[in-house]
Amino acid sequence: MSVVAQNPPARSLSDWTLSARGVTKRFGNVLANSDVSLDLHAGEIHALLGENGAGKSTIMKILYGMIIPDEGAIEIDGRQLALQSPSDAIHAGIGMVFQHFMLVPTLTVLENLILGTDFAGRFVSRKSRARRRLAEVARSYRINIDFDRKVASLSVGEQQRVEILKALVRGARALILDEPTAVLTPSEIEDLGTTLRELAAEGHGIIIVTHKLAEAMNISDRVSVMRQGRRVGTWRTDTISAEELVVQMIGRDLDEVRLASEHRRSQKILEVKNVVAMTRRGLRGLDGLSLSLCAGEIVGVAGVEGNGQNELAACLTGLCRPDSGDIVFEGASILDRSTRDLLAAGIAHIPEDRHRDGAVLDFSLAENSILVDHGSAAFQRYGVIDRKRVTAFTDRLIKDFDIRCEGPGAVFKGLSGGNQQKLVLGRELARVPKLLIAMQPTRGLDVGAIEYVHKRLLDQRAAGMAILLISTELDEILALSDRVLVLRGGRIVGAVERAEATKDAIGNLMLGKSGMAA
Amino acid sequence: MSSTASTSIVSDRAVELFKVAGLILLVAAFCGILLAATGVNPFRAYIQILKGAFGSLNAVAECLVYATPITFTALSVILCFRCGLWNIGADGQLYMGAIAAVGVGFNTIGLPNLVVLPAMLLAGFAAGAAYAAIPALLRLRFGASEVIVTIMMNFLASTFAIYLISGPWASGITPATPPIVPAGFLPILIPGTRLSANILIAVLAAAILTLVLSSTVFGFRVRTIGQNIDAARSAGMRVGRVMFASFAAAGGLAGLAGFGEVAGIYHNLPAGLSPGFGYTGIVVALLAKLNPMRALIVAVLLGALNVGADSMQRSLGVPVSIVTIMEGLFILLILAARLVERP
Repeated sequence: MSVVAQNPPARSLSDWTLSARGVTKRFGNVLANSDVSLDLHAGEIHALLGENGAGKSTIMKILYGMIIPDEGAIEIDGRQLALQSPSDAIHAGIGMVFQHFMLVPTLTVLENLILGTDFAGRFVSRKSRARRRLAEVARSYRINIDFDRKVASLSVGEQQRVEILKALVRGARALILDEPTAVLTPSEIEDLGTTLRELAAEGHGIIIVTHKLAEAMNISDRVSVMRQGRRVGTWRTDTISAEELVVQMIGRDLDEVRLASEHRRSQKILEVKNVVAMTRRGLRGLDGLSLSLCAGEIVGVAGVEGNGQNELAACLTGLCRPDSGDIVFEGASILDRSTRDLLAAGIAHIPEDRHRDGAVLDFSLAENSILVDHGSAAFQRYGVIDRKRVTAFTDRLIKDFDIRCEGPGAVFKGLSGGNQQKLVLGRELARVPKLLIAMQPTRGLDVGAIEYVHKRLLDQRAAGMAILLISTELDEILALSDRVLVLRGGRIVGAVERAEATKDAIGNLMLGKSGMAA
Repeated sequence: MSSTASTSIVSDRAVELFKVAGLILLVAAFCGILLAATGVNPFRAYIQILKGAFGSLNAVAECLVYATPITFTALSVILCFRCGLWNIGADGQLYMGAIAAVGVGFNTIGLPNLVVLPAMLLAGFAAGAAYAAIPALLRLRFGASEVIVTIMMNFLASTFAIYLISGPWASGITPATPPIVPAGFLPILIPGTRLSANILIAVLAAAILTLVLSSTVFGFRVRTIGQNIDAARSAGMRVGRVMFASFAAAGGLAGLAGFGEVAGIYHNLPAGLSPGFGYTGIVVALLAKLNPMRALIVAVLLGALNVGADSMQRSLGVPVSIVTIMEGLFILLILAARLVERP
C-alpha cells in the first residue's frame, strides 16, 4: 500500500482496533469525561454525537494525546499506548483534523504536507521526490488537489482535504475529524462523505465528532452518543432512528416546538419606513427597507447572508445611522438616539457574532452578564459595582438557563458555544425588553440548546415581547415566526403569513427566482 | 468542553514566582557573560549592585526616589493600555505637570501656606490631564494615531520647559527656575535622605487605580473597551467618552510624577528634569503585565537596579549601560516567554 509512515507500528492496515478504556478526565470541578470507553475498528466510520459540552472534544483530544486522562487508557489491539503528546499519537497511527485547520496559509499545499516530515529534508529540501510520493498517495485516495497552490487561495473544503491528506501522509490509520461539516457547503459535504467512505474501504477507521444528527446518520456505520461526560450508548447506525438518538443526546423527549395560540397583533412597537443605509464599504446595505412589528409577535426576516441583515440590526440598535427614511419605536423616531438610550428604552439585541459583539471572551461570566446593564441601579452604587448582586444575578442566569460551567467566576471563553449563547440570551431576556432583535440566535447550537432557545423566545412572545428574528436558517424562521419577511438586496421583497409560508416559496424569494416580489 | 484549562497542582502564583526567578537568573547569566567579557568578575559586580541598592538606608531611599516617578508614569500607561490606547506621552505630561506645579510653587499669589502644596498637586494633575486631552481629542475626532501625536508632544513639552527656564522663568545662575516656597516642599520621610512623601502618594495612586479598574463602573467600561471595543459599542457604552476620560486621567497621573519631582526633590524646575521617566514607565507597565500594584514592585526593582548599577560603576568602573542592556533583556525574554506560552 502507499502509506508512507516512517515506521508503522506493527499490524496490518486492514485489521486493528483502537480503544479508549474507562477514561476519566476532570477540569477543576467539571467532570469532562467519566469512565468513557469507546472502540474504533478498521474500516468503519464511527460518529460521535452529543450536545455541546457533552465531552466529545475531550475524549477526542485524549485519543490524540493532547490531553492526558486522569484515569483510563488508550489501546491499540489491546496494547496500551502511552500518549503524552500528539506526536506520540501520530506515531501510533492516529491522526486528527481539527475544526479550525492547522495549515500555514502562506505556504503551498506541498509545503504544508511535508512540513515537519522527513520529506522536508534536513538541510536541502527534497520537494520533487516528495511530490512524486505524495501525488501517489493523493491519487490512491482520489483526493484531487493542486500541490502548488497557496493554502490561502483554497476553499474551506479544499483546505480540509489537505488536512486529511496531511494526516494520511503521516501514516494515520485512525482518523479523527472534529465537526468536519461545520464549515462546508452541501456539495462539499457530499464530497467529504465520498472521500471518507473511500478511506474506510482501504481499512482506515474514522471517527466523526459532530452534533448534527443528519450527517451522523448519513455517513456512519456506527454511532455513539455522549451526554454529560459519559458515553450513553453505541449502536449500528441502521438499527437506530434519529428520534431515538435525539432522546439519547438530551436525555428526555424533545418537545415538539409548538406555537402558542395565535396572538392578536395589537400595539405597534416598531416601524421602519423606507430606510436607506450604507455599508462600511459604501454600498447600499439597506435600500428602502420598510417593516413593522407589533407586541407579542415574532417576525422572521429570511434572506441569504449579506443582504442587509447586519445593517438592519445596526440601524435598529443605534450602531449605524440611516441615510434616509425613519425608524419609529413606540411612537417616536429613534434616528438620533444613541445605542445606550435605545437599550435603556427597552431594545435588546442578540448579536450575530457573539464573540465579537456580544461578549468579552476573557471576562468572567459575571462580568459578561452585566455587560449591558452594569450602570443600572441594580448592579452599582455610587459608581462602585455591587459584586454580591452581580454574582447572585449570574447565579440565577446559570440556573434558569442551565448554563454548564464552574460558576459565575468562570471565564467566558472556557464555555462551550451553546452555553456561551445561553448566557448572552439570558442576559438580554433578563432585561425584559419590549423589542428583541435576535440575529441567528441558534447558530452553532446543538439540538437540545436550539429547542431551549426557541422555547424561551416563544415564552417571551406570549408575554408580549416583540421579536425580530433575523436568521438564515429557514427551518428556524418557519418554526417561530408569525409572519415571514424576505430580505434581498437591502429591501423586503416579499411578506408571507405563516399559514401560507412554505420553504420553497421563501427560498425562491430569497434567491429572487419568483414573480411574487413585492 | 474547555480543553486547555490548567490542571496543575501547583498554584498559579507559585508558577509565576518560579518564572520570574527563572527570568532573573537568565538575565543575570547573559549579563554575566557580558561583564566577564569586559574583564569584570560578574559575581563581584552583582554583589556590588546589591550593596549599592540595599547596603545603606540612604541607598534604599534612593531606590524609592527613583521608583516614584516611574510608578506614576507606569500607572498612566497602564490606565491607557487597559482602555486600548497607547500613551507614549507620559514624559510630556510629566513635564507639563512639573511646569504647572513649579509655576504655582514660586508664584503663590498670596495663597495661604496650607493650601500651597495641594494647589501645586492639583495644578500638576490638571496640567498633565489637559496635555493628554489634546492627543485624545485628535484621536477621537480625527482618528490621529495617539502614538505618534504623544511622541511628538513629548519633545514639545521638554522644549517648552527649556524655554521657560532660559527665558521667562530664568533664575539667573543655574539652568533652572526660581525655587518654590518652602510651604510647597513635600515632607521628607527619612531624615538625611531625598525620600519624600511622594512615594506614599504613588502607593495610594496605585491602590486607587487597582480599585477603580476592578470594582467601579468606570473601570468596568475601561476594561471592556480595552478587551473588545465592538462588544462595548453593542452594549451601549459611550466609547469615546470613556477613552477621553481615561486618557486625561492618565495624563494627570503622569503630571503627578512631575509635581513630585518638583515638590519632593528639586524644589524648582531644572533643565532635563526627566531622563525618560515616561518611556521607563512603559517598560514598567509591560513588565508588570498592566497590574498597578505590580507596577509599584517592578518600579522599586528597577530603582534598585539603577541605583546599584551606579554604585557598581563607581567602584568597578563598569559602564552603566549594562543596566540598559539588562532592562532590554528582561523585556525581550518576557515577550519571548509569552510567545512560547501561547498555545
